Amino acid sequence: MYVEENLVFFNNSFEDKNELFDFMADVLEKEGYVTEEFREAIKIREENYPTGLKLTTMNVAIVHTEAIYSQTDKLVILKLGKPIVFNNIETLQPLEVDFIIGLILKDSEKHLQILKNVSQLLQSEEAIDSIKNTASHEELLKMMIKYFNEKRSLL
Amino acid sequence: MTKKIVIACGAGLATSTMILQKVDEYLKELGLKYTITQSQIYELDMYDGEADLFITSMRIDQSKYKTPILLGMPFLVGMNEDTLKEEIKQVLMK
Repeated sequence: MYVEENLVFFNNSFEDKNELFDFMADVLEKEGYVTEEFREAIKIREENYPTGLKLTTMNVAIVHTEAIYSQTDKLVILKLGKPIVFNNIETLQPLEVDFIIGLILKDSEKHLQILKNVSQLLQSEEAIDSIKNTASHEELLKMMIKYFNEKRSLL
Repeated sequence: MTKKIVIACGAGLATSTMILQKVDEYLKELGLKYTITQSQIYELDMYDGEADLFITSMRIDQSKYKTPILLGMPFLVGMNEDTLKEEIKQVLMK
């Protein structure tokens, strides 16, 4: 299962993206889902290759590292309490992001389907709007489980 | 002739895979013979001049490369996809 209750966060606030990455690394290390190097690797990677995406109604960052730092295939989901400044993946310009999808991906063959689902989520205005309108952790969790765990493919 | 397309992002993993899925679909539609390679942005030098098209997640300086570069962003966010498809077609079918 890609989505787990303890990897979905609602309304947390962080000063900046490094604070967010430390938070993610703490949770993921505790679960044994990433190696110790993950913490620095994700910060460096985001610095060199930003992952902020400007969507119609909400901006999203799809943060990830190289596969070697992942011990499993999971998604970390955060709907933030206040936006964090990332950079736009294409233009590198600053971009305020409200929703984070952390791609913890170990195996490049197996994760094709999950990437397809992430991609379809990003491209569905309806899905993005419903994420934007979620009002509780429970609601967000339910939606993410439905989206990523229950549907094999949305095609 | 077989067209060679290289799709590149930071890690050569997530973003390029998402772009690849869409490019693959479109090229099938066009009925071209093609190969797609996934790479990291810093590896593009290796393919420069040999590949017919680079599609990247991040804006990179075209003047450093002989191979034409297009941005894959529309395929990530689902906006302006038709414009990108038209550009891909123009590069590959010229």
